[in-house]
Amino acid sequence: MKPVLEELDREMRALHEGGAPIRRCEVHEQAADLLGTDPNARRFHLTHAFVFALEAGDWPRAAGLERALREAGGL
Amino acid sequence: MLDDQSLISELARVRRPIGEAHGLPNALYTEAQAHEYERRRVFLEGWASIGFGKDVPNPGDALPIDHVGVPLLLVRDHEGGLKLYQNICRHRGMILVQEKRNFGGVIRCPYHSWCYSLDGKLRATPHVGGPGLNTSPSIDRDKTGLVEVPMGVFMDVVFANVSGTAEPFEDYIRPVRERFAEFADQQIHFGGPESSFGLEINANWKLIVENNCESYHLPWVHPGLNSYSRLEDHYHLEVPGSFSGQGTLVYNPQLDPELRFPDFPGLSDKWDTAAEYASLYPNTFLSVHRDHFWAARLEPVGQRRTLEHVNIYYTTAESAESDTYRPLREKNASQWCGVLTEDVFVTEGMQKGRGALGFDGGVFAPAMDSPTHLFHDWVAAKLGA
Repeated sequence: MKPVLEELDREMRALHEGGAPIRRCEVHEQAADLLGTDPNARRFHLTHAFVFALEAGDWPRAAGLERALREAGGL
Repeated sequence: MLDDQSLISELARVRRPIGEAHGLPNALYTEAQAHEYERRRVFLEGWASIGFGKDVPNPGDALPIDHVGVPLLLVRDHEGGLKLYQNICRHRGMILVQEKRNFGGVIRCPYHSWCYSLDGKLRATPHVGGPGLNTSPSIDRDKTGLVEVPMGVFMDVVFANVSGTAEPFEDYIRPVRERFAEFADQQIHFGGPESSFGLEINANWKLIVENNCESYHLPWVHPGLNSYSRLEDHYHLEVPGSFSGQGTLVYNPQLDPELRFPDFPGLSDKWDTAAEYASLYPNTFLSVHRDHFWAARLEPVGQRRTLEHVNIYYTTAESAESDTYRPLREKNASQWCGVLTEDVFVTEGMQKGRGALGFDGGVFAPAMDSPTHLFHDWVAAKLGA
């Protein structure tokens, strides 16, 4: 795993215990970008980013992620 | 083991004229099967109080409530309205919210992260069609939102009819709304943490209701009231099928020699000295005074154990929130807590008394116990007598 992905993975685990939905959204957005060549991985991380944007109540961001998911075939 | 035929026969006896009637049968205080029957017929198929609006003051606040074993979720939506849902995810029935919190966005199930907006709509179903695929032909989001539970609010008390089969809330609340018409649409202001207290009582909820219904016990159980609120200053409240209770003609609060709470505006002269204490069946106490209002909800947490949640409200934001009135609020709450605590030995004593073999439910004093008999009669009717 690339060091940058390892770092994101560490942060995802650290954030797992709860809270900080905006940061969790950002981490998954970064992962979706970094893994953009793998459509399955991209859809997976966009899904999580979308969920955490909804949880945070960041509606414009959620709408953007919803569009991205739809374009990626995840909706 | 509960004998259905003897229970029905004993319930019929409750419904006779007060001079011939007996109280509710012992099984309803001691036997699990009777408790379950009562839970369903009284608390789930009818209206009952489940909380207070002041517990979810801000948009996004969500309060999980265990209502006689049914998980409910009280939510303040973004428009400031109240919503009541079953507190479960439509996917696998997981409890959605475990403790009170605020949701800035959606409510996310902690199990598979299905997401619901505060209006109950299913907003996201992550990976439902496989990894990264968020739709499934078998999941219709429009039909899979949170299950809304019929609710109503009166003077900040939140009521629910879990089964959805009771009469409209307006019909349920109408008698007490009419009785308290001068208070019902007034602005009320919760008095803050010092105006909220709870009692844990080792007694069946019905014993606490019947004690609240009548003034007969006042000189014996609350001797401090005798100096300014004598037994003969009280009268009965009696609305069959809805509520009963007591009123006093000599309400005259003297918490402080100089400071007093402001009165509700526009009250008629009657309320200069009157105060009334209604037990709205099954589990709500509504108590009106010219300068404050308190409401209590009985939460049956078992057949022999009840939590009593008491909240006091005032007539203006200043009297409810300012430091100037804080000592007065504390004193008022302390006095009410003292009075209600004085009742505990009675209700717990009656519960212990229900262990007597062959107790026939007792008899009623027609002149003094008619509000209590009305309550027993209502329960008996709800249970099919």
